[in-house]
Amino acid sequence: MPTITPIDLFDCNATIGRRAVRNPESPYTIEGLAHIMDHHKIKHALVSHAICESSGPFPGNELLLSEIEGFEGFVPCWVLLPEHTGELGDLKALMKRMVEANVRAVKIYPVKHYFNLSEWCVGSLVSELERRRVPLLMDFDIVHYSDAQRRIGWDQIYELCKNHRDLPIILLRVGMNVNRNLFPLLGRFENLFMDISYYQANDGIETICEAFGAHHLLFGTGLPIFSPAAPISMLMYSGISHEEKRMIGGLNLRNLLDLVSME
Amino acid sequence: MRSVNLIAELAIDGIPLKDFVEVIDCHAHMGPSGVDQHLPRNAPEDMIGTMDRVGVSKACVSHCIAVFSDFRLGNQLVHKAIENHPDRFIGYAVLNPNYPEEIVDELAICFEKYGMKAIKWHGNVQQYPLDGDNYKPVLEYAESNNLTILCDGLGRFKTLRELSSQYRNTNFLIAHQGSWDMKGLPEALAVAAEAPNVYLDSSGSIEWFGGFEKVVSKVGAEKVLFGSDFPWGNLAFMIGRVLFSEIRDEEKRSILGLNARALFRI
Repeated sequence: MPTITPIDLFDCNATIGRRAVRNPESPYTIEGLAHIMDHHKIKHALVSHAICESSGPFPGNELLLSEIEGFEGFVPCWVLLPEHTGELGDLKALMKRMVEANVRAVKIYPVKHYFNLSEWCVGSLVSELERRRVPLLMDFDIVHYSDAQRRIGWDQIYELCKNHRDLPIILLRVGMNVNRNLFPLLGRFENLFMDISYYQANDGIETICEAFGAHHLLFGTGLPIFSPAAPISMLMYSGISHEEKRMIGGLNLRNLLDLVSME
Repeated sequence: MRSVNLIAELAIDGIPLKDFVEVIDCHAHMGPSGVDQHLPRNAPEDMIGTMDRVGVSKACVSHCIAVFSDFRLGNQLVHKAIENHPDRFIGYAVLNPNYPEEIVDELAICFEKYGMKAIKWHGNVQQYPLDGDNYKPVLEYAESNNLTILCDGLGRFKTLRELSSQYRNTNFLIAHQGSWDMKGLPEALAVAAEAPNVYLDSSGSIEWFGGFEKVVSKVGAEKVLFGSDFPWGNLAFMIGRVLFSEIRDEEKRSILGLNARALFRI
């Protein structure tokens, strides 16, 4: 009887750190997050610091590195901004520091940090990331799925995917109402990905796997603000093959991180 | 060894629940939506495939067409689904109060001919109050027949509090209350905790961490029924909060099926 390879869950969408408004049930320390992950059999998490969401990339990015040091299963994800205001310092120096610290993924908050995703604003930043194939995660501050109607600029995502074919672009927490805009993009661009943390379209995972391939989907949770119960249940009960579940559960993210050039 | 209970253990391995616990979905739909989203695989036969994967024995359904456009056509389509799959679907009758001249006839058709078991009301979509004059025949019918009304899009909980006191043989099931951001106590929870004939549907589209356990602790497991809203949403996504919640398996059994069995007299 063939052995079934387990599905190792690798969360692409988690944060640590205090926020101004606290969910009383949510852990904010790395120890607390590790406990929740263990409870839900999540082995690894790509994690960024909550300070970066509300106070900008520094000092949160460096703080993240020191806070996860010594804890197994955590992979750092830095939060970036377009470089024009100087808040990031020199772009080349930033990339050098990312290589030194083995930071292989970055996240941006175009809504919360209020910047445009057009080339004239983010073009040079994303070109630098594309050169190294650093996955770019995009958080559009979606709480309820209807927020997508106001917050996601599909034209801009189209242009970025088209102009930066070697840049993996990962949409976070897109909801069940995006299919009519999402599917034309998934049909065109192999460098477009999304996490399943909030993708509660009926048989949505199954439909995307069948039409576009499981390689476009990544397991994510939104921890610790949002519960991992729903995306785990959705993945485990989905009508796709075990191998596709393994890909979405963790292999796809691992592959993207392995492809990053750290020279 | 896993630190969670049996039902969570089944879920983490994606094992269908059917042989271990009865699951009845108290809030489901069927059919397409033109409003703001694409609903893949929304036909009754597709839905049964999804239900089987998770291990859901029955789903209580109203048709999206009944809610969003033509209530009588939608009720007919639910009747057809019940005829084809009598063991899998339980029908909600949708009575649109904006067509008062048709309501009494449709009530009789839904319950005497179609074999429906409960009523679905949607305040946001139909833009008519639950206590409006046009809806009175529905409330009176429910009261005479000890029926359940699934109330979606409730604006004023004061109204529900009054109606639940006035119509004591009617059960009011409030939609989308399984998700709570814990910033202040929602009125729905307060009403359900107080009124013996008010219950909560566990669906709700935002997965606040720890929110579901808080809902159960406020109203008691006997007042919560598992609902998914599928195919409007995703069945497996919505059941996750129940399966992985940090409550006892006995409480999960009540929420997943036993409470619905009692309310819908299955």
